[in-house]
Amino acid sequence: MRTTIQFGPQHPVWIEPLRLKLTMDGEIVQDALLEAGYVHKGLEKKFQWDYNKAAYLSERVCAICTQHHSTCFCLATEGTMSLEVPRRAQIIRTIMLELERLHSHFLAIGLTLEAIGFENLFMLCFRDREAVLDVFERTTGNRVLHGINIVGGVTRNIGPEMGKEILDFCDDIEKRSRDLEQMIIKSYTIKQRMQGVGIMSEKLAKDLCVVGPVARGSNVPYDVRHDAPYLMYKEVKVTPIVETGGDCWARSLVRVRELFQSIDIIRRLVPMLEGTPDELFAKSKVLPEGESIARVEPPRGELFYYVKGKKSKELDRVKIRTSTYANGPGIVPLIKGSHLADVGLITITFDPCIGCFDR
Amino acid sequence: MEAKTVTQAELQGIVHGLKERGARLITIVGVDTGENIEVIYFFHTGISQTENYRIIVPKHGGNEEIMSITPLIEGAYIAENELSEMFGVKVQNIPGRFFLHPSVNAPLRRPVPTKAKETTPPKESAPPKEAAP
Repeated sequence: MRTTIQFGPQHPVWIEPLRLKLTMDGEIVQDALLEAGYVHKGLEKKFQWDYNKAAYLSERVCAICTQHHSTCFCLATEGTMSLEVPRRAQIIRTIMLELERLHSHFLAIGLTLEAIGFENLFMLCFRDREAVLDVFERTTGNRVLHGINIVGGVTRNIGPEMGKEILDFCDDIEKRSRDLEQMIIKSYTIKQRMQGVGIMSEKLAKDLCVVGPVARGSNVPYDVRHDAPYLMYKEVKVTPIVETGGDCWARSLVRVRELFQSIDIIRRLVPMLEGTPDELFAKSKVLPEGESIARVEPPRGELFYYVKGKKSKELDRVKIRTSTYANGPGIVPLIKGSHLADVGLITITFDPCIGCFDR
Repeated sequence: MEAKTVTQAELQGIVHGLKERGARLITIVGVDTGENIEVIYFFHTGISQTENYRIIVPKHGGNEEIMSITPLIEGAYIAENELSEMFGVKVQNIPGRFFLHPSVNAPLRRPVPTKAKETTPPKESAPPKEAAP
């Protein structure tokens, strides 16, 4: 007998509203319809008001990837003004981006484990994530919305003492991440629950142009830090972390392995601050004019900003293509044919950010 | 940022070729310039390489229609829907609604400047109302 089940818009597995209309045949999902737009805020229009204030606004698109959004917007706007950002500001931005990847991956891993009933590990992940937020508080003054990016550079410096503190933090968080990795990899239950569930083939991942750990978990080595290097990634080379399984296990494993990659990148970046002039900000003599694009690699995958200036403080057009926007088309094919009990798990391994999706 | 201006028919061939070369669609961006709606297609083609193509759609009073690339690249589905609902441009074989409520119509579409009025297709004159008996 066929039944229709409304999965969301309010569902405990997602923090934000998204609706899946599932047509079931017993326990198996026969068809699914994805409905978004519950938190559509019309932000792209609002971005046109003032390019200086829009950097502040861009942080509000997503509370997890705030630094990535503001960095991407600033890079695109700086492109319309041919503005060269000081090296120190580039290093600080890149350190912040990698710290953000750490806390986002801890969140995603914790939520995935919670979706399969491991509340204890979820708590452990959040304890580790708190350590990252503490570093944000010490370096930027804010735990979530950091507010240090402006068009032309950053507003906060990282001095030698803070640099040492970040390096000490790297040692501590590496040990914690290693413990977490061992707990996950050695757990027979977690592996059995995730392996072979929600498989996205390499061909499907390429056809749907999915990004981030969703693509890299399906053997697609697409990472903007490697494929279109920006900021300090031109010097600090990044090799995409890839898994071949394409299932929930592979997507989660990519995130776990990227924790160590981020720690390694931060360790390489902090010494670069030494001897770099204390210039944090470059002032532009011109207003945004013409079109420019920027791409960065947030924890969930490629983020894209298109900015069109009109030689005034107001912008003509801003378009944001977020990671979840790119990964959205991949949700429905994966849950078709799966068990109802797996729908929550499959979707949470996409690490969906509905605020980003709807904007 | 460079974007090559092409026609819709040319774009279909280009997208076909790009897909065969393994290019990825980044996204589709709509821009309202007043007289026209420009649709820009961004593709990632290799390390630090993008190919961008622009089609220019003259405004026809909300009756504009463009060809879809979703049959060639499935990942374009959401972007084409959003283009349609934000700018009121119909994309062939695409529902044209994804994020917005049906009561909201083309919020990013701008009025045509007074110098260049939209070329509205002629409407059939409505039959005169019959007087109530």
